[in-house]
Amino acid sequence: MQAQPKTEGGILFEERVGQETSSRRDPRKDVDASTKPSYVVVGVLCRVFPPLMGEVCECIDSLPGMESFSLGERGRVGVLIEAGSFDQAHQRLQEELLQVEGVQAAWPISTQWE
Amino acid sequence: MAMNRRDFLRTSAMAAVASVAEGKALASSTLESSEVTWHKSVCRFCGTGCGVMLGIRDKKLVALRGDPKHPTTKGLVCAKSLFLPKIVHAPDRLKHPMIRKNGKFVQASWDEAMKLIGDRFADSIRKHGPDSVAYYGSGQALSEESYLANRIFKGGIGTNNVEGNPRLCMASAVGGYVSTFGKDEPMGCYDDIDHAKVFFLVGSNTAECHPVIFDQILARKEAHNDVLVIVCDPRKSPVTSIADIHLDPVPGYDLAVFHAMAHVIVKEKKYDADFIAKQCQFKIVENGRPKKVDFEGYVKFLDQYSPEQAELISGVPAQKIVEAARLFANGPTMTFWTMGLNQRTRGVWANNLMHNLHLITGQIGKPGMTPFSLTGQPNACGGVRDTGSLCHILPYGRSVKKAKHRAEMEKIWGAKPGTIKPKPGKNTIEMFRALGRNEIKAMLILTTNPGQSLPNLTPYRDAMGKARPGKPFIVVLDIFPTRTTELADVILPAAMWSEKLGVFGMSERRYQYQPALVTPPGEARPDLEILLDFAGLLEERGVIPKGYVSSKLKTCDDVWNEMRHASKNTAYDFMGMTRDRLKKERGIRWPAPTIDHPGTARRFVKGEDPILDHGPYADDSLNEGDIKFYAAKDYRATVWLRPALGPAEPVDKEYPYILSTGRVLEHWHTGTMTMRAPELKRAYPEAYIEINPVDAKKLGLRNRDMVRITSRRGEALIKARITGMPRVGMVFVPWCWEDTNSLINRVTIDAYDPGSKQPEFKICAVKLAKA
Repeated sequence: MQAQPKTEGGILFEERVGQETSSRRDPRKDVDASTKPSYVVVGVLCRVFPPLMGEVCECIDSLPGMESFSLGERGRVGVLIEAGSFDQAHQRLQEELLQVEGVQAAWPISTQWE
Repeated sequence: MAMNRRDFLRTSAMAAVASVAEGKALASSTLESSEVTWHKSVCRFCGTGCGVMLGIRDKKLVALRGDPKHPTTKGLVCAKSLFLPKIVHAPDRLKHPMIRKNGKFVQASWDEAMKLIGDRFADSIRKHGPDSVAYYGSGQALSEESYLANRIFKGGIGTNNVEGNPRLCMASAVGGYVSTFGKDEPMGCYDDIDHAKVFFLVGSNTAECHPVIFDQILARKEAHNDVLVIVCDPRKSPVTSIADIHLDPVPGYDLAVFHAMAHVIVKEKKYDADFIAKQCQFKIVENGRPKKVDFEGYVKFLDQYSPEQAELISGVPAQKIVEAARLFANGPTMTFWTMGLNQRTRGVWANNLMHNLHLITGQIGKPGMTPFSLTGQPNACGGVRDTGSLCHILPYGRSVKKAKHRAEMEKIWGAKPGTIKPKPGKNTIEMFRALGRNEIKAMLILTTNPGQSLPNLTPYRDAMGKARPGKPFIVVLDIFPTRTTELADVILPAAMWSEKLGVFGMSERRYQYQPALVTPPGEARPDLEILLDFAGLLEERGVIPKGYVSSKLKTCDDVWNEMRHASKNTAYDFMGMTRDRLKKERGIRWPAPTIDHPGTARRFVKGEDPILDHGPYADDSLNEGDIKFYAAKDYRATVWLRPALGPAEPVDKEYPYILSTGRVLEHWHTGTMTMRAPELKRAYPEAYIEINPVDAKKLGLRNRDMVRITSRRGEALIKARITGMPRVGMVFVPWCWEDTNSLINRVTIDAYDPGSKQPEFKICAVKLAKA
């Protein structure tokens, strides 16, 4: 199979390491205070390497909190990411969805929460 | 079966994705069943100008999604945009005016803060003259805000000390457009992406800085096997993943590559002789003056830039240059560039050479054929460039140097004749230098963070904040605490984005309306209201004429209407963009001189550009599709013969590495907004320096080692990231972190382009050591 670049919103996906650094003024630690949802759902538009559409969907559906849905178009698939927090949803996008072989780009189109 | 709330949220999310994929609006039943009302608006990050839909519940912004009805961005937004609701409602928004008293910020009333500002500005103007005050604005301010500030300072106070952060990002593009075509701003549009077969991406990490544009290029390439991408960038940024040819010149030496491409095009007779004969002229600067040469003179000039010679200068293999030139000439070619060309001491020249390639191949003004500078801010184009809010220009293509233009604006503004000075004010770097010398005694800074974003930062932070006798008085309007607000004497809390109405003008000349949907926090107010009050205070104190602003402009709509009239009969004419129309439509591209004009996809093209049909530039002798560069001298665009000179600070034995700065996907500029979303912050929680493995080995560095980066101006301490992305001898640092150790602009150089006055952020010499 031809190697495909992994992209997020069009960018190469790479491992991003590092711990939270303390901020000089540190007002950001409580940035979540106003919005602490218990349920987050993100609708994602994925660009997928066309020959691998079937395998990609199967793999996405096997991941916890993720579900693919057809958009009726070769090379594109919709994905719902459900999570308990924004952090978890973002983590699933970056560390799980974009790791699936054949997923070239993932565009979070809609974020809803409660 | 009854649908529970989570099912509803799931369905809504799926519908949003499907609507983007299909390019249709969401089913109305989905919208109707929501507690949320949806409103169209525009993203306030980069200059792509993505159309967004904002979900509002109880006057709070609770959701954002791409607007599938938007004609160019078609529902796509990037990760940054989706976090805007959280950023708007972040708890550390500035909520009250603050005045520095005895070294500490103390909450003050609006009356107290504004009175102090009025007194200090008026006092300075009376004692030291109009040029003792200055305004430093932003490509993130709304168009009406920039226009009004410009009007107050240039036409009211009588100083041209009006600048803004687009001087740091787009000034060289302005210089390139003006010197080649006679007027600023791209002639093409995003629709050209759907027609191009070759994309030339130069000094542009489109994938991370303009991700929605990059997706459109990616989609076009995936759908068409014959679409090819040439990337010119010394760093293997994510765009190189789709490059068919990657040209990686030593930073600062790419001008030779562009000339060599022209050399190949000419030698292989791939140029468009007819287009050149009708539309172009050739010029070289000798003894400080432009001199006309003929095509043969240009060919002779190019002889010194054979691909082989360019390889010696730039390090790019000659064969790659030849291949790139052939692809470019085959076209249809669309060229995109950003800071890699602009943030240079040869920035204008580099821009000229982009235009040269399009002009000699006749690839301009036709579908898929255009040079196109991408913009980093949402309103650098519409807000600062178009409204003339820089020290040398006036609204809508006018210049402070031209008496006719000054008289026109004085009449429109109702200013006393002679108020606008003919001499340009101080450019950004000189303005902050003057501040450091206490020559500028009061400065108003709006929606920008020069305490982090200026190059060679240390002296300019001192200029703004260091206690000393006669220290200038600094007022900062912003939405969050920043590295600039900490230097201020007065901080005014500003309304942000969806809390205020106005217009953003993005890279393809599309003006888009943003409604006010959310209540600002605390006592925060729209910048425009603050500026109107500021003008009123100066009127009361007699330093601008009574009624100059207050008798004519009371609302944002008043300002917009005056702007429309100021554009009339200029190359920008947008008289047809009434407020009502902008509220209904998904933006309109200027020129749009009448209310029934749909806007202009391609400028300078008869049949598309209404400026060629009516007004001072009308020409009935042209046929449909003919091109006329009506703003250029003799109606001919200029192919410039620019020497391929290198950067201001080449490497040497003491400082052997080239430092370049840039951005990452998740963060935007100084991180003032994006660092407020923890998800984005966590993606890149700390600064890093990219170092090539070859250099790392030489220096004994490993991943995550702390590196001391030292230039002749300052140093930063940043963790190493060993990667093959930068070429050997080059290091790269994004500039979005604000902690003191990571302030990479303490290291960058403030040498600037003599034409555009834009500093060379992209290139300076540094040494590296394990800390």
